[in-house]
Amino acid sequence: MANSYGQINHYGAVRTRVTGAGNLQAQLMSMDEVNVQTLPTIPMQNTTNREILVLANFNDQRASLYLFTNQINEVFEISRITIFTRPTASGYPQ
Amino acid sequence: MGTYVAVLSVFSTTGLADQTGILDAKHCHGIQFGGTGANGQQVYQFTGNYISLDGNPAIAFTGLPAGFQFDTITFTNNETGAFLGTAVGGVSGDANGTTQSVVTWGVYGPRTTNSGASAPTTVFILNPSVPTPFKVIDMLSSYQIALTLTHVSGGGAGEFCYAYDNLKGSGSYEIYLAVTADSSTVSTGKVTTLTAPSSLDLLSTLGIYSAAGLVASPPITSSSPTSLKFTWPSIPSGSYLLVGTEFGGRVYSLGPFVYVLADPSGLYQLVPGKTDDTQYVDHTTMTVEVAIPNPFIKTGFING
Repeated sequence: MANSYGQINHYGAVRTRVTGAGNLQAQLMSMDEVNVQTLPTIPMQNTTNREILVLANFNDQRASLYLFTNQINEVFEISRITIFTRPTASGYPQ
Repeated sequence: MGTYVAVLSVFSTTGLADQTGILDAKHCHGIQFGGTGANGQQVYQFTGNYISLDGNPAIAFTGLPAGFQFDTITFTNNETGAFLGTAVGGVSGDANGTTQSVVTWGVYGPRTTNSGASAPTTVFILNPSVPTPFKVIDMLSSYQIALTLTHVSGGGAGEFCYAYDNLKGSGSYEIYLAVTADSSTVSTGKVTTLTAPSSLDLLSTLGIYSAAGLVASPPITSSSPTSLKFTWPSIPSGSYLLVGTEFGGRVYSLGPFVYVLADPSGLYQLVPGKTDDTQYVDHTTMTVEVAIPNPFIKTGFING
């Protein structure tokens, strides 16, 4: 995909290769966290043969993925993150 | 703690000659004496929808919420009618009615049938004179209260008239939820989850109480009928109780729970494989396991 700085993208899904214990919380954030979408939690296991895919519906020029846990004894180890995105517009209307 | 009022109804009558053709608590009942020893009795029982909690419409005993417990009961007669020759009716045929009869109020064992011909088993006699408020604990569903008029002296036929209505038991109550917490030792910022079979979503406020009184009122961060979460605020180390209050004012005692708050000591030891942090309570050997604060990863901006 050609890099087109400033284009508006749709972020449709996130796939992770993660092991651990508990539930991994996920959010997509725009610059300065103006827009935030909370994604479905990702249940974690110590061993797994799956890379969990969670759907998103986030539109912005840029997005950062924020993964975290919030309960005692929850741990995570991430080895791969795949974010599915596609440009939808060249920019915001003038 | 809430308040309740429970209204009594007539269960049975014995030895009474109905002077008005209607035997119930609102009418004058005369008793005619053929000599010493003739008695009359009117028995009252809690039945039907008779309990009003905090001024709400009356409900049955079986409709009380789970965990309901009577703390106190005071029995009162709010009727201003007759009693032993005073006010309504009075004595006919013998002017010294008050010296010839004794009225006792008694509490009797459980009865399920209206067997007016047999005297119920007395649990205890409350007083031999005009009914005054007394206290009986947690008896509303099964026991009966009887007004017994005993002719103790004097001769000839006489009539005593008494009418009692608006007999009530009232007092205070609490609702004890079978609540469990996911921990009993906490520290500032710890999220505690309370679980119960039901009714946790009715709570609008929480109070953290020490022996001296209310210490803090942390907000409820999430709730459902069976689960409630809140975060412990910054308060001194010590033992505390939790009290939950419903929006309408009804109070639920959650516990009792004993919480000891650990002061963050600043001591930290890296232990391989350890998935939580250990805090130490000052001046004790007690420790508190808490979550590692804010573990996260954040990617750079992805712009397609």
